[in-house]
Amino acid sequence: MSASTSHPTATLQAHFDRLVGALPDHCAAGLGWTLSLQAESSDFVRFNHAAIRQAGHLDLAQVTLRLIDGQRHAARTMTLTGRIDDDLDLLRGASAELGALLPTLPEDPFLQVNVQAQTSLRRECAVRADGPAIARDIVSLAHGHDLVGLLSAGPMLSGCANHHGVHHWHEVESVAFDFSLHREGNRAVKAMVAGRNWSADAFDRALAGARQQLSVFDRPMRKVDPGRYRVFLAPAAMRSLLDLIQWGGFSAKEQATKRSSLQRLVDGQAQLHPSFNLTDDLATGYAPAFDSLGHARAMQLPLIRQGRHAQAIVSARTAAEYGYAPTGADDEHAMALVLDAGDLATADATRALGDGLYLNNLWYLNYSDRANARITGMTRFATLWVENGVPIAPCEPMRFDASLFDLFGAELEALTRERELIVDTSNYGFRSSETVLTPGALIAAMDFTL
Amino acid sequence: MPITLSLSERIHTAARQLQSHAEFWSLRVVSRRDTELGVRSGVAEPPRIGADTGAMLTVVDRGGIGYSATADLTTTGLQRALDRARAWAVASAAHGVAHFVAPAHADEHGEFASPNIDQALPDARSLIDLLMTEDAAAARDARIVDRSASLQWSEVEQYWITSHGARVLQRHRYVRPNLCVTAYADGRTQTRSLGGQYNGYCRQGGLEAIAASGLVGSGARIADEALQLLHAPNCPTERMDLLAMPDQMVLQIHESIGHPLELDRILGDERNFAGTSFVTPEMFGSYRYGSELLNVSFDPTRPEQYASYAYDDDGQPARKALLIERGILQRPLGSAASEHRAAQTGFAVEPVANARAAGWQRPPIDRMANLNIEPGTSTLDAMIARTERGLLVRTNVSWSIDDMRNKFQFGCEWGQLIENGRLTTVVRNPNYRGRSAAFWRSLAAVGDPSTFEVLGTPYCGKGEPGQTVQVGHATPACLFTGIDVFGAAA
Repeated sequence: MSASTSHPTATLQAHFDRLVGALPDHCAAGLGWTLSLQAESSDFVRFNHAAIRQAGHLDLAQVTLRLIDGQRHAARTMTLTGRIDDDLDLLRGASAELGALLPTLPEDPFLQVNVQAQTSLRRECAVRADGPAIARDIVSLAHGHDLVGLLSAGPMLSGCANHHGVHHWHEVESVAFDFSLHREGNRAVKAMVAGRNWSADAFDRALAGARQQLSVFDRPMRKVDPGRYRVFLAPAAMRSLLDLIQWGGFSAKEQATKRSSLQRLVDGQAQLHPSFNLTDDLATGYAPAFDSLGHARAMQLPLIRQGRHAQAIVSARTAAEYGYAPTGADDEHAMALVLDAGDLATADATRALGDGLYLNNLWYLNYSDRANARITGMTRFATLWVENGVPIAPCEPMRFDASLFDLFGAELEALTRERELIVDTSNYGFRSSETVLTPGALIAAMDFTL
Repeated sequence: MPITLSLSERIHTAARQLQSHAEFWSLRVVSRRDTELGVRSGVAEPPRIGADTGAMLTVVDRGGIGYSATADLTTTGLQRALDRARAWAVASAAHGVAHFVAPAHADEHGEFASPNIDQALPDARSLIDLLMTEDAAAARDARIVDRSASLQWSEVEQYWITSHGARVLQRHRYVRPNLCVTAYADGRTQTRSLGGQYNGYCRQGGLEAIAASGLVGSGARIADEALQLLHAPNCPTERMDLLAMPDQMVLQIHESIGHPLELDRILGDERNFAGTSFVTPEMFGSYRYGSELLNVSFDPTRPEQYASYAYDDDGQPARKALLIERGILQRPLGSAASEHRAAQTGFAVEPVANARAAGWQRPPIDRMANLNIEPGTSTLDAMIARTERGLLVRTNVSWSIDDMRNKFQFGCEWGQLIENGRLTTVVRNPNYRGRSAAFWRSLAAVGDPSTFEVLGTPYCGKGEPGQTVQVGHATPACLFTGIDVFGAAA
């Protein structure tokens, strides 16, 4: 799977198709199958003090084979070597192992196989990113700054096929540099450049913006006492709140078992502000339009409309268990959240805030009371104290504890006209292809506890 | 595929054929097999099996360090990765954050194996039947709206070879049982679990690890506790004493001792993501981290504990070391590589063997492994008896802390008031918050070995790119004075 400079990903699609083509011979007669793939070929360069801390490359491709015999099924994931004969052997071994396991298993009444021969192809590759060259750009442009960050660059690929003729393929080239500029005493600002290609100019502009924002720390830090304050949540802060809702909030299964943080909304016992419209809109992001079982994901799924629950994200399994209509997402997780814009010009945000806190980023959110969607977390990076609409001082980190039903309900004063597309740079396993498109939000009252 | 003798010979043969002008290289091959079985509300979920084998080539050359990870274990594949790693080392040498050198233990020879690793586990159907039994036992009441029982295990073999002649083979089996029950009535939901919803009863071993978790026979008890919580009053909002049981102490140790002591964090590597630390280099040897009762060890030697090993991922032999002794901070969680970097800045510390990677796909960084509170002398009954007004908490469900590891907040599944030396009312949604420094100095009693449990978490996340590693936390129950506790909204 090592990338070449011509068209690196064509070889992997061909490799995948060879494996798919071999499956009917590997599997015993009468067995169904699904083969899904996830892969990346990534340069990772980690920076500290604007110098290189760790730099390297990863080639990783995994396929998951699911064998189906009536209502019995099991799955096996394998890491591919990139050598077709070795990988065909791996697939043969997996088929044999699963084939021997299936007769011993109980039947699964909730198995749903995609019998529609859906196909899709999305290939958005640009010129292959040159990791070492980008690293040199960063070192050069950031010289003299205390910059910390991670460069992730290279293609991300996924595919799926099954015995009914489903065939999906998705690949996207992505370059993201997530970074922060620091001064002494944990005073820092955060920024990111992300896209299909690297642009040194774009990074230079982002660096200039971060430098300018960092200048707020020329002023003494202000300690803000616990209490209730007016707040402006910048898009990155909004994204953190929306991400926490993703912990089962939109999942049909979590809603059916009364564990969703949005349960009161789902059950009609609570309502958000009428201007709050949240959608999972795949057209705005990088994510594939199919799940790992080959179901086509709903391209646009309204989750909350005018502050009321609209739709859950429903896997085929949950659909079978509860009699719902599936939305093609086996993980019941949104991939491209979009929050509708409002009327407040971002340039007017501090003036509209008046006296209060301007929160650029939040950190380490978790539920303190899931049933009431109450969230705790910290402010981080540039948190500003604002008086009469003018930023006065940076603030020490504070802990908040507030319910989403309040923040996005009665306390929501306005959403900004401008929105920011935020690329998820998390990469605990494979690099994420999630995105969030969100405005900032003016909040009348938010509780800070420590 | 597991590293059989023939595969280790293949790796060894391929390594001998590698060509490089680098000052130092290492080859770390990791092969793992993961199995997940589960039953949810009476229905067996489809088994999931994972097989993952690959190699990380790391090069140190001219003061730079670079890596390349590949699943192609042929000589050609490994050579390509080695060349790429060297290219990164050379490219970064002139712009490196430090001058890197070969690991100090670049020629180690040794082995490690989890206890009972060669003991076969029962077949999948037998284990599914076991889970089905516990799941069915939890179906005790119409108010039980969801229940699940699961068993996951991972068999991992890691082979470390270097250009300096190291040969280290370590074999692990990690076992993760879990059971979780949700009750709902009158608009209220409560979930209760066996050791936490994130597999707190995780250990190395075989059948004995499953037995030690208490999974067998737990279904009915966990369901009853969920129902009890459903109708329990809300935890009061008050300052009182806090008696944290081991399955909450796990997260307290993890977030407000473990992460702040990671040396690479203190050196600033994590400032863009996981954060930094309130701990500074000058504190080691003198800073009062906690009361005299606090003794915290880095202990890779307890065989059954989740993150025990004989060598870290840079080949350093692993030994037990006290990080905090009688409340005084002694040493960080810093690997030999970080110790070398710290020395270049004038900061001398003793390393522990904690350079760990999430797998072959990631390079090692400073991590927790087994981080334990050493037992004290107080029985649980004695700690309860001395408490006039307090809260006993079990089983973490929520965790949050600031980026310097100071202002924290935790939530638990289960709370029970202590009044005038006796356990009284069960309360739901117990939460507490505080600051790390003050909190550990309020440690008033440490449980004796009768309260000690060997727990951990499979999901410690950190690093750029992100890495999830398994860690162990063995701890007694602990009593803290004057803690702010609170409950749910209503």
